[in-house]
This record gives sequence, structure tokens and C-alpha cells, in this order.
Amino acid sequence: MATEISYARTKSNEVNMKKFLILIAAFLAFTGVRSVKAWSGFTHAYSVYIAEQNLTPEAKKMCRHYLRHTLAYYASWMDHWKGADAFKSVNARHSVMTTADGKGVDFAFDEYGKPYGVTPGECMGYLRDAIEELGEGKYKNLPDSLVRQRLINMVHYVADMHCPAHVNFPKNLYPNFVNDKKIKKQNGKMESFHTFWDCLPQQGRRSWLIEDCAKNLNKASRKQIKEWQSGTLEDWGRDIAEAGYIAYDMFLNKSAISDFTPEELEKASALVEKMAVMSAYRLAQVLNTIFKY
Amino acid sequence: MKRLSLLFVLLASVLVANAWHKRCDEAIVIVATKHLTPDAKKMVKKYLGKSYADDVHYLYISQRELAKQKKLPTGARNIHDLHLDKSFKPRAVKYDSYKAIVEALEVIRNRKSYPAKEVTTALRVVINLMCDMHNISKVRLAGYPHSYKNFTYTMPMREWGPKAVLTKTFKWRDSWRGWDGGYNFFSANYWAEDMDIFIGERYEEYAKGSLLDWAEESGRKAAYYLEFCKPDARIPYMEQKSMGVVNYEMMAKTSCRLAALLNEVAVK
Repeated sequence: MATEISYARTKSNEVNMKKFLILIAAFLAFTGVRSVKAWSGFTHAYSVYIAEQNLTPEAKKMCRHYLRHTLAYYASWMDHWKGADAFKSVNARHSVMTTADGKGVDFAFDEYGKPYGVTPGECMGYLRDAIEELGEGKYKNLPDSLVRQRLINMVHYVADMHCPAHVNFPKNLYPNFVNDKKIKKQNGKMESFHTFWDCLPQQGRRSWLIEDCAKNLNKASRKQIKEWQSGTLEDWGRDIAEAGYIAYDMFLNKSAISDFTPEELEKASALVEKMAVMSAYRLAQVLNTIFKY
Repeated sequence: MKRLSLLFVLLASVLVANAWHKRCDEAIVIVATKHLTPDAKKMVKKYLGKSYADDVHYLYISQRELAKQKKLPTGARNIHDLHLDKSFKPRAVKYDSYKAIVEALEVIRNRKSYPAKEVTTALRVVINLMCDMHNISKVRLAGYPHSYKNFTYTMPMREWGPKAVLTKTFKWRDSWRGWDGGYNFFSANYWAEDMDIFIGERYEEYAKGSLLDWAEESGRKAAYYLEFCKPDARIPYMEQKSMGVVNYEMMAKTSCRLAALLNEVAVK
């Protein structure tokens, strides 16, 4: 996928974007970003909401049948319960690990680079297994509770894996750079790389509802949607790794938020918005495919 | 006398913010509307107009006005609380949500002998206080003095790993403000859509019983949590997380029960 952000903008949008960037800068400088360790609930919710709007009637009906809730209700469910003992084994799966050359996503490693052994690790591996387990009508032969749990996990993981902060490169590619690299905010407090990217979409949009986000942030063209939804999971992994490169490179040689230029902030903001919408359409694609039969 | 009492109910109702987030109350009303009988719909339309869901906000708007005028009767803000004895039966106190709902329902039942304005007020009181009565943090339970306070308590960050020793602090009433997960960015309509799916075929089950039974249920649930959730206590991780699930269920029940009450009193 091209590294440049290809959203077409009108002049009025550019004016709005400038206002938005000022808001971001103000938030970053004075209030800081909320300290959470996953894409914020806000981003998860609007991404999943967009996905739900793009489900086929059959897929929507089946999702609601199994979940007894809307999809967005479960957007952050995995984060909400991640501290429970029962979810200890899947906790490391909120991230993706790239292959040794950093060009794609490895399906068998957890976020710390350790092989899981028998159980394939990280969320891309989970997604692959879940599609295999539920697809082609196989969900009909499984207990409802199992299908429900698979759906809940997928709803969260597909969004999580598209967050640039959730991409983990081998240490030789980014020496001395783990995803919790800290940079200084203007109020003197330290902000982690992870938190910066996780919470960026929500900055300046505290009062937005998911419907507002779907209306204003979903700028994808039909061609883009088709491009995003096509290909294999490996192809999706390459897109995700590429977004990870942009995010990591942007943080190189930075020690404070004030080191970012307005253009860089705009690029960062556009990147996360694009990734959130991309994850929405891919989640819709996965669910539509599963419930086609 | 009844008119005077109702006036106090209104005055008090408008002075305290609801226990649930206003979008939660809106969602409850939206779902309840779907379950109204034609008679109830007609009655609601006659006295509240088209904007049934907007009446959740009526009391908030009036609250600001009355606060400016400093017209708060002493103790009147307790009207939002459900006062129960040790056997979970309503206590005889001057201002109580159960008592206020019973009075307001009486006005609605005999609406032909009351001015339309008072019936409108009674309907608004029922909508507002049914939500309050089902909120666990609004239960004032005999034998649990901390149920009167907005105390703080902690829970472990996780059940496992290094973070298990770290704690997170909560306020009792804040724990019962919203939905599981604490989302503030779902619109009332979307929450109503979600709640509708959640209720599904459980409407009859949730709407079953009398006002007294529902008050008792709120009391029993509050007692369960107040037993271990005490000022400065460290509560188990799963118990804190379960509050969101219980809270959501209580909201769904409120919408079914509000509809059931209005359907009952609307019968000609």
C-alpha cells in the first residue's frame, strides 16, 4: 500500500483540518492523552459501528442473534475484561508481530516475539483460525457460546491489529525502540508511543458520538474499500506492517511532542483515521464472508 | 393535600441530577415507548406531546431554573432515593422515590379529576423516578450506613500478573452511572437499539411483578454489592466488572417496567 495518505480534501476540509490540528496540539500540550493500553474505546466503537453499517442483512441478523447486542457494544469488551484470569491466555493477542524482515505479519508469535508453541499467537493468527473455524457454514455446527466468543474477539482484534501502535517489529529493525518509547509533552509529563497512537483519533473529539465519526471520518472511496477488502490475510498484514513503519519512523529522533511539525501531526492523524476505517471495512468483509452460508 | 405533595415531588425532582447518564435515561424511554399499548401511547401523546423522550430532560432544565431561584425545600432532594428497611420494604420517609411514584400513578389513574398540567407533571415524575428507583446507587438501605454516602473504594487493576498489586479507585455512585465499558459516545438511539436487541423476548419476564417487587429487587441487588463494597475497601476484580452487567440489565428492566406501568394506568 502506498505510504502517502490519499484522502482527497476540499478547501473547506483543509480549513477544518487546520482547526482540528490546533485542537490536537492544544490537547497534547496541556492535557495529554489518556493513558490506555489499546486503541481507545472511542476508536474501537466508531470503527465497529462503521463495520456494522456495512454488513449484509444476513450477517447483521446472525451477529445480533449470537451476540444479543449490537456489534459496537462489544467493540472494547476484550479490553474491559482483559484483567480477568479467564482472559490471561488471550491478553497478548491484542498486537501483531511482524516477520523477521518486517515486511509482513507473522502469524505464530505473540507481541513479545516468543512462540506460543501449540497455540498460534497474536490477533492475526486468531483471526485466521476463527475464519477457518466459523467459515463456510461451519459456525452452524458449533455451540452458540463458542461462536459468540469468537465474534466478540474478532470484533476487537480486527480493529486492534490496524492500530500502528500494535505493530511490533523485531528489535534489530528498530534498535532501542520498543513500542513504549516515551516522549515529553509540553507539560513536562512523559507520553508513550503506544498511548500517543492509541488515543490520537479521539483528540479534539471528546463530544463526538459514533454516528458523528461515521459521518465525518469515513472518507473512503469505493475503489479504496474494494482495495482494502481484497487480498489475503497476508496482504492485510503487509498493509498493517507498512502503517507500523510510518508510525515508528515518525517517532525516530523525537524526544518531545513539540518536535512534531504540524504536517507530521496531520499525517499521523490521517494515518490513524484511515487505519480505523480500513479495519471497519475489513471486519465487515470477514463477517459477511462467514455468514454468507 | 395530594396536589401539594405532588408539587414538592416536582420541586425535588428537578433539583438533583439523575443517577444514570442522561443518554441512558433517554434510551430507556425510547425502548419503553416501543412497548406501549395504543391507549398508553394516546395518553402519553395527550399529556406529554410528541417528544416523549425529551421529558427525561424536562426535569434537568427545570432544575437549573429552580436552583437560580433558591426554591429547594429542605430534604427534598432525597426524593430520588429509594429508602428500604432490612427486609427490603419501603420505609415511611417524607421524600422517597417509591412513595412519589405511587402518588404520581394515583394522579395519572384519576387523571380526569386533575388539571392536565398536574397529570403531565405526574407522568414526568414517573419517568424520572422509575429510572432512579432502579439505580443501585440510589438505594438507601437500613443497616448499610454507607449506602447514604458516595464513598470511594478500590479494585485490583488485574487478577493476574504484576498489575494485580496495583489498584484503581472508584466512587460508588460513579460505578452506577452508565453502561458496561463506560461508553459515552453512543447516542441514545443507538443504545436503545442495543437495549432492544438485549431485551428480545425477555420483555414479559422483565415487566413481571409490582412496583413493590421491583423496589425489593433494587434493594437486594444493592445489599449484595454494599456487603463488600465499603468505604476504602478493596473489592474483587470480577465484582467490580460485574457491576456494568447488572447496571445494563437494570436499565433494560426499567424500560420494560416503565412501559408496563404506563400501560396499566392508561387503561380507561
